[in-house]
Amino acid sequence: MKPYPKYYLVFKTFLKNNLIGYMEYRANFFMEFISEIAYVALKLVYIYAIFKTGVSINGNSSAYILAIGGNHMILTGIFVGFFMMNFLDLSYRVRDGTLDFLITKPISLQFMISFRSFQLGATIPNFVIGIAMLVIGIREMGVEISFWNFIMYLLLMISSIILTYSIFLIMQLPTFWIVKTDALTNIMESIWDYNNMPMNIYGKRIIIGGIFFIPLFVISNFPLLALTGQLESHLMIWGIGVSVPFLILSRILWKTAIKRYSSASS
Amino acid sequence: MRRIDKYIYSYKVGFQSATEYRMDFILSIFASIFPIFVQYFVWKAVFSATPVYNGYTFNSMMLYIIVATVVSRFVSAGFEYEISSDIKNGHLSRFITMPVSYLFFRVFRFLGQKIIHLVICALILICLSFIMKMLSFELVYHQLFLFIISIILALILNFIIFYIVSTISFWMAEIWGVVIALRLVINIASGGILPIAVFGESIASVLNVLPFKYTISFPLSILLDDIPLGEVMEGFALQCVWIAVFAILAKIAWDRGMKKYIAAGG
Repeated sequence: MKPYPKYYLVFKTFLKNNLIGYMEYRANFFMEFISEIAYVALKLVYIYAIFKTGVSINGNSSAYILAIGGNHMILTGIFVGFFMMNFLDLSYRVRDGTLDFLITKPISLQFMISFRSFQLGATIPNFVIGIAMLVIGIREMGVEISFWNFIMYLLLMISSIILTYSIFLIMQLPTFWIVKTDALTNIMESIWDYNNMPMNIYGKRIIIGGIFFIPLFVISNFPLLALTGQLESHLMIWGIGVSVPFLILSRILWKTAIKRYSSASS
Repeated sequence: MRRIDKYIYSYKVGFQSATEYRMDFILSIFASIFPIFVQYFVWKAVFSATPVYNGYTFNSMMLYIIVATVVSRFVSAGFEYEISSDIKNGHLSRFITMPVSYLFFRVFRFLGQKIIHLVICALILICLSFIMKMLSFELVYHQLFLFIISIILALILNFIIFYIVSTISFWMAEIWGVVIALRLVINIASGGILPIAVFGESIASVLNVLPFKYTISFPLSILLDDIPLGEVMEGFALQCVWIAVFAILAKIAWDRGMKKYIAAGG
């Protein structure tokens, strides 16, 4: 069997297992859904509070703030729905040694860890409300969106997803050294929400660090800037290109970290 | 054995558990620094345009957010999943057959935990107050005693609110999503995230009628706003009234729930 169809087949099986799981335990789907709606509501509260002030923040109109909140929510749907559960699962498996079961499978361990479970119940509210906010925000801003800008937006969104995966996988890797990583997870979630706001509210040094060292602001901020035609072309190239070295970096660090695995309790 | 001895024992169990997991609590407060960082930049940008907003300046807003974070961690319940698991897995049966009141077991265990949390939070607040002093924030020290009373009442009120939330387990097998959602919504309504006044008059007037502000917003206003003694006394009275109301509701919910209880797995 060639390697790629094999991965595709395994991925399809994971997806199928998740859907079967949902049909078996329907309550879980609703619980994901309800809790995620509350998180979405929390974000809306922040945006509403800033809206109420009626001031433009460092030159960003309130429409732009709405749009960036929406775009970040769409990516949050992907982050929470596709990556987060798997990353959390990694630290559980390292702690109780059940990573053993996966390590012995004849398929990439990183692949097995990264794509095993999905939280579609969490994705739906983020997608629905996020897209609505993005559309309303863009319409309120009154900018014309060219075809070219839209293509760039899509490319930068794909790059954002790859960066999300790489950065947050790397952040979860200390679990191989320190066993209890609950606080790490909390910090991870907080850092994720830094993108909830336009990046230029942060200081100059933080912006530069967040674009060029840990390209966190490339996620969410760059796609919207490109869509509204405010992103300079060299930053656009950086935004699309930077995801590749980060993906490679996550692979290298993964390989280093996995050597630390001591298979606890067995 | 005296009647009270068994509850003193539950108190010790709570105390020991909180001593054991003290780092977890400290780290959870530490992790909440990260969202404050975002708040710092957002409000700095907002207040650069309007120096005073709804009675808040940048300094008083940040002070509120920081102290609210610590206070909301302190009054937080955190036993919802334990009660839910007792109900779902049938462990509650043990308490039915033993001459122990489940409510008092939970109350004393909670108090045991909170003693440790109190020490941690007090240390953090003392450290903070020195830093605040350097940054020329002013706390209202002469009302510290009243603040402590209000915090104790807030703790009791919050305990009962979440005790009622936990009883949902009698009717639903899975409640984690509901718990997360209610925690967030109640935290927002309590003023644990932003001052209630920031949401504008119409929303604030609703939140002022609801009981939740007596868990966080009211104690904070004693410490930060120097509200007159008459208002403080009125607040204490309302805290007591709400405690009484919720205690009755908790009793009703628990009694109804016990009729539903099926002692699964027992």
